Amino acid sequence: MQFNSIEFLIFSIIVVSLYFVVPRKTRVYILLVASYFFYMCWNAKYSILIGTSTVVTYVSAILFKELDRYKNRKKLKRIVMIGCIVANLSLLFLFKYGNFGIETINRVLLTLRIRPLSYRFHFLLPVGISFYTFQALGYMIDVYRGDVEVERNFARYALFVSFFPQLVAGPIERSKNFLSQLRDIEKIEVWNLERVSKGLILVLWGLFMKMVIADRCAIFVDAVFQKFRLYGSTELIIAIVLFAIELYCDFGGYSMIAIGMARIMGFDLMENFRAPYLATSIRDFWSRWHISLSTWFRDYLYIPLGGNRKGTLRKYINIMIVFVVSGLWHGANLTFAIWGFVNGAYQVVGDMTKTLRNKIVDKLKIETDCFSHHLYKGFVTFSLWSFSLIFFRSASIRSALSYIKRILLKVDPWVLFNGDIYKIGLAEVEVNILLVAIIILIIVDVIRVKKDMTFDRYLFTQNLWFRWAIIIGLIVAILTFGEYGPYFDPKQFIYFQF
Amino acid sequence: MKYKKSILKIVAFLLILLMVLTRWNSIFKFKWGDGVYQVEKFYELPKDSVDLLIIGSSHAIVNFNVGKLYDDYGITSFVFGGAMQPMWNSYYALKEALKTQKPKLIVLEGYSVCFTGNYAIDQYLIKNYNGYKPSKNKMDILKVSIPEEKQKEIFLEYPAYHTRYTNLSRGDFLKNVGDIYYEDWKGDGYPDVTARLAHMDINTVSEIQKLPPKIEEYYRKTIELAKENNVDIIVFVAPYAGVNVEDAMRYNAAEMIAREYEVPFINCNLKLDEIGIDYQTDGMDYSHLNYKGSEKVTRYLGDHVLNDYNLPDHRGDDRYATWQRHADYVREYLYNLRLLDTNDAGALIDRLNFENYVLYVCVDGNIDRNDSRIKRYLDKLGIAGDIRNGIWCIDGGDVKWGMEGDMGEYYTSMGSHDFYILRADVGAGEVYNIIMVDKDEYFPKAVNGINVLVYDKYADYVVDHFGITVDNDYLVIREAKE
Repeated sequence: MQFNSIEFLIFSIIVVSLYFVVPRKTRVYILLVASYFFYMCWNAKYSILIGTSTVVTYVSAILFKELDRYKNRKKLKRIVMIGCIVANLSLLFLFKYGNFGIETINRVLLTLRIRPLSYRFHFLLPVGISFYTFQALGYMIDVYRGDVEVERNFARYALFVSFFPQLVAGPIERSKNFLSQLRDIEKIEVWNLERVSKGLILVLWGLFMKMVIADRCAIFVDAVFQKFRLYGSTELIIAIVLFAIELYCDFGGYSMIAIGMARIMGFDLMENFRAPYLATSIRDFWSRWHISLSTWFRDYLYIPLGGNRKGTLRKYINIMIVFVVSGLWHGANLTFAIWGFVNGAYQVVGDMTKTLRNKIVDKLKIETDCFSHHLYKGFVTFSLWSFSLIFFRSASIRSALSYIKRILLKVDPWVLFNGDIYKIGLAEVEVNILLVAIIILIIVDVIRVKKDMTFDRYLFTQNLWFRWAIIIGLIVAILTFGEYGPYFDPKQFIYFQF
Repeated sequence: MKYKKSILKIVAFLLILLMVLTRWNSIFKFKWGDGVYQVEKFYELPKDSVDLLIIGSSHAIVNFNVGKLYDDYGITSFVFGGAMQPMWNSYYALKEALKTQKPKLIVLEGYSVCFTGNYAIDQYLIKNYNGYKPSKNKMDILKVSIPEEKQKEIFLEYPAYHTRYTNLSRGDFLKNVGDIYYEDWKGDGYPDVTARLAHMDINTVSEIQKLPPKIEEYYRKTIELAKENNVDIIVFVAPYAGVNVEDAMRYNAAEMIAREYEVPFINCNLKLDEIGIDYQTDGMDYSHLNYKGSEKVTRYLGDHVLNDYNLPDHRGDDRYATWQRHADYVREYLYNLRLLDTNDAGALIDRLNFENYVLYVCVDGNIDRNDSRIKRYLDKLGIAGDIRNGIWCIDGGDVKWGMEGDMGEYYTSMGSHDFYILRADVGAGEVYNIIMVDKDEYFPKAVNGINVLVYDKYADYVVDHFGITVDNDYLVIREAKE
């Protein structure tokens, strides 16, 4: 059940209506049943996995807390903690990295001229497994650290792990934020027009990002990446820039819909993207991109590894570890690891050259507090990020390197002028629609940064007629320019596969 | 109080949204004349006003002249057809029609007994589904005529046409497609193309080929539905040049089934001489007749078939004025088509003497001042005096204005069109007459001769643009209709 489907629309209307109508005490149960139903629409069998992860962390947390009553149980507590982490990670590794692990071992065996393993796992990747296992693990670590109270209400905890708007692609919620909201679920006002309207605006904006921008970009991007050896530098550069936009609008759109859906029901999920393409450095970029995952890695991996507390070298090593792991989190393929590595390297090199760069800026008397400098930095950041995405999007490292090589060697600027660019899936009118949509996206992101307001909140600072005009305009734009219908192959949200 | 205000706001918002989306939908929806639009126009008919209901595929749409049926016989008829309409869609079309109409006779055009497969291809699925009002009948059409995997995508209609933003035209924004033709349209069509076609004589085919089960089921159901509603039905196969032995065997099977129900079965492919069909002049392609063929079939239907059913003559009855208006239009339209088919200069000039025509007559190039034929043509058109270069506007036979000698320009508007007339010096002392209608330019067809642009102010379109050249024995130069 895709967010951009009629089924989800009907499902949401039913669930939200029930949620508001049923006695407040049963709200948790309604949402829990709805969440499992939602998940089972993808694959009913895999609900066992999410159930297992839920039970393991729930029981472990209670056990951990119970052991507090006794003295000298520190070791046992640690075992419970490790057991819980291992159980969750085992699920993740088995279902997501099983075949990748075998292939990696085989590479080593082949190098050693040893017969490779022939066994392969034959199950599909469970949707959202990386998200809900991380959310559950985050809770367990929070309990271990004493940052949150143990949740003893199983239904509430199960809902925390499986809440349908953010179940399959995040944001990866923190127990401190979301679990405490679930504890107050009965206090949520039944009807609050402003809250519901804001939620709906976010849902619409998310659908606009996904259906009008991301899926339109995907037509060009898929066409070029499938046969990139037929294209020159212009098409390849445009394709990777459009992929950067697609990825943002696809995942950012999903997050926006999730946050909007949650807000309609009275929950505030964490912001997952904060105008990432307006970032002026890679470090800045990563504080705006997939915030829930970046902060998860920061809190539960980077800091435990020592963060920046153990010297510069160790800090750089920690950064590289976090980024490579983050890369692998995105997919069981070396391309993702390289993508993570490249992004880690950006940060390390950036940090290492910071003093030198500042000196050059001083020496050349470059004005730094002006639009042109911000534009330059933004351009460099976006270019570096887009470059790294070649590895993210390519099927193999060899393909990625080939892609880069063609960008450098097959220069063909004339395709911008002779009309060839309109022959790659997007006709001129579609390109024009895409350009207008991207300009709207930039305006919304600029508002986010300059006014420090999300789109919904900004609209509520405006007059009613303007707000309604924007909402109706969004609905009409989605219905008209959205990529859907009998002759369109609907695109699954990219991050569902992670 | 707080809730009251909220509810008011929501209702107001939803009303505005509904209005916007309804208007948006009306712009984007398909307005095909070979399906979809037939259904919409059918809903506009006065209740119980149709005496003759014609159902079927494109063969039903182009082979019956509804205007002539009213003009010559006073019969109120409607073609509830759709391109490649399979028998199951004919059945549901009839079911829908019977909700508001009580026809005295149903003509089931029988070509669809020759179809194969359980479903039509995508475009035709839509042409026989879109346009119906939401109802159980519509859901049944969806279930029967559309493969299950496509039902979800097609049932809301809008998803299939939301991408029309790439080809919206003026007609999409206007009522009745901005065309007077569609104001009182009755589902019929008049192809203006003539193809010289070979055809097969199927008179000797006596074998039978069983109809595919789904087709037979709905063929029977259609007949039974008419019978249940006490409405006479005939199965009528209009002629087409592409008929073959296999089709003929299917028709033989269909005729046997019709006989079971004591329903007349008329296969016009066996009556070409009686009807007067000549595939050198009456066919559009191997599947369809053109407007000339359709007139012949309609005459045959009116003279030889409908006599038996005592259908009332509604001519002169104001309650059926919509059929009168439609007949008026069809008559005019066919007059225009005949004008286009006229290639003799004298005959052409004679046909231009028509009250609804506005003519822009240009005398261009070098013409002998004593050229008697040109002078005669100009006299007939109302441009008296010596032959001289210039451009004149003739409305209903009267010269409204003219530009002679000097260069100049003239703007005017008629109906939904803007006209711009220019006499321009193109160098070397040569003056050209150029006419622009909206954004289309009409340059002279004859360099030395008369050029005429014919605008029909009733039908509101440019009918013809031709030249009569003195350089080539007064040949009519037309090329493709512009």
